[in-house]
Amino acid sequence: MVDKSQLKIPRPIPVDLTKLPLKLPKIEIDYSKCTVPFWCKKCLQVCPQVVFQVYCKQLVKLRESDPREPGVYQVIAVRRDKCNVCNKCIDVCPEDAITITY
Amino acid sequence: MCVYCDLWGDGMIWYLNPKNYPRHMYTLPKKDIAPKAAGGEADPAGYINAERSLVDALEKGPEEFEATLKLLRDGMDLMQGSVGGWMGQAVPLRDAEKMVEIASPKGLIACICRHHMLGREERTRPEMTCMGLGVGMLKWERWPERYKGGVYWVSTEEAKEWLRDLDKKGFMHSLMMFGPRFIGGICNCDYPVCDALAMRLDFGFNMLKGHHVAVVDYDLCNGCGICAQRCQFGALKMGVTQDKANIDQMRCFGCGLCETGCPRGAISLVERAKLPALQEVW
Amino acid sequence: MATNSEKEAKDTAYSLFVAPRPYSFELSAEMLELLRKEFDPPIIITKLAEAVAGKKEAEIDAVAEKILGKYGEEWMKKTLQLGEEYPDRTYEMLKEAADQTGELVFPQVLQRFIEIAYLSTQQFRVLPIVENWAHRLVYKVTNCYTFKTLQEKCGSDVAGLLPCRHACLTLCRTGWEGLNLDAMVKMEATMMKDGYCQFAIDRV
Repeated sequence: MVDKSQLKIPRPIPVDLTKLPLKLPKIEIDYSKCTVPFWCKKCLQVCPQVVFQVYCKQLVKLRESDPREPGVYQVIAVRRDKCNVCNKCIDVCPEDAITITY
Repeated sequence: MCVYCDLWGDGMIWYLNPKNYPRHMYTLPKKDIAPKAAGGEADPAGYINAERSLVDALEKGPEEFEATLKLLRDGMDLMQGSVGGWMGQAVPLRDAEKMVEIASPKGLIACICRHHMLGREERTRPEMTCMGLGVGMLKWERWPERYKGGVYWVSTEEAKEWLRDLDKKGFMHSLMMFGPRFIGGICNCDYPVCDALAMRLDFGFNMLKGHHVAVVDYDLCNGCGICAQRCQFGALKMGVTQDKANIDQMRCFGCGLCETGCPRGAISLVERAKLPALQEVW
Repeated sequence: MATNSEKEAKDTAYSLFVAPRPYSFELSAEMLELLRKEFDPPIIITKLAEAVAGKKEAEIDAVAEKILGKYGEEWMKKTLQLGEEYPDRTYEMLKEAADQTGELVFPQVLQRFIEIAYLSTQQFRVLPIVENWAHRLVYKVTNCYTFKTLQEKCGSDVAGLLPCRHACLTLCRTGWEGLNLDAMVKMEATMMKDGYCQFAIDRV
């Protein structure tokens, strides 16, 4: 067995630490308005920087979840660090659920 | 040899060692212990929230960021048996073809990153861009939401053909690990839609560089520029002065897309281990 | 923008997977119990102990080969039969995959029956498979219940000859013959030397 403490584990940090803290845009999504994001997916597809991610909130055994059912999926603005505040997602959102402040 | 070769390679490249693929099919239930209640799976938002906290830490300062990054890497090691948060590795087409000869069974599935990042669904075989490996795939119907679109079983030859098709389109291949000594899939990625690549290039974990680096034969290169369109890493550009391809090997991931795309065979892959200054550049 | 009719078309074509019945992906407990009743190691080892009592070392192996070889053959034959009679969803999916690909009878189908054979008679919950790919199936038996019983009933000297290997070796052979495969089996590690037995089945 190899001794794990002897391993050379690469740990690069591509982030310029001297520039932190960064000022990042705040992206809020009103979930009372945005209820079927995986069925709509307009913000996901329009964002040039792939800021958003959508996921199924509750996995159920033996059954696929229905993205047309409200509240099953949720969209989150994960990569705010890449957002350039182009506001395309706001324009495209049919429910006016997104607000961005910078 | 990368960290996983040292750990699990037994003297060979670790992903070509059959011992590193999924193995047993059945686990008997524990006696005297009631089966887990429904919904015992990990929180589906767990990983996404961890990523989000990493981005949030950018707003707080360098110490907070480094601490959050450490937490994330350690968390992945704990959950997945990885080392240093390295879940995957870039693999050139030729090695991916060897991998599908070892792994069995093989099934085409929908890519989970494209699902998360773009809301994209891959429900038919020609759309599918991910391949699951090993016996665990036989139980996909337990969590159909994860697989959305099911599994198309493929033979070794079909798997190779599928890999070559995706390679032609310009997807870079990588392996993904699910648990220690457990290669569970071959991904076909592009930045930034691939979460593993995005995490690697932006934050420095998740996908290791491959075991090769690309080199250009300047006598054969005619400066057509096809390779430059295929590089995902900004490692290959057209050298304007020489009018030939130029590769920054420090940035090269060894995915081999430039090699397979070159119509004149001017690019080849050499082993990272043979270049002293690159041996430890993962 | 998608028109309304396009939207409706998307809507109607969208079908969600729902398991048609509550699938079980695990081995049938009833099947394992049936196999255990018939092939529980103490039963056959008691028989062996009677047969080798007072015999010389040279004769023991021949006697064991006859008794345990037959046991191994019957053990696998019954496993093949019951394994088909009690399918789980994992196996159904495996057969589907094997039909679609024309591969997988070796190693996975064989692997399934070997896993059943050991899980039904041993005390561990997982049979450690070392390799399973197109040309090779390798598995390990650690903490062997048969070997332990052998030590108890026949003493360390007889157990040291590892007469029980005949059961495992014929088990493998009967397995691939039952699936119309051609293969070879080799012991890569033995209980006496390595502390576990390792069997490697190579497809020929």
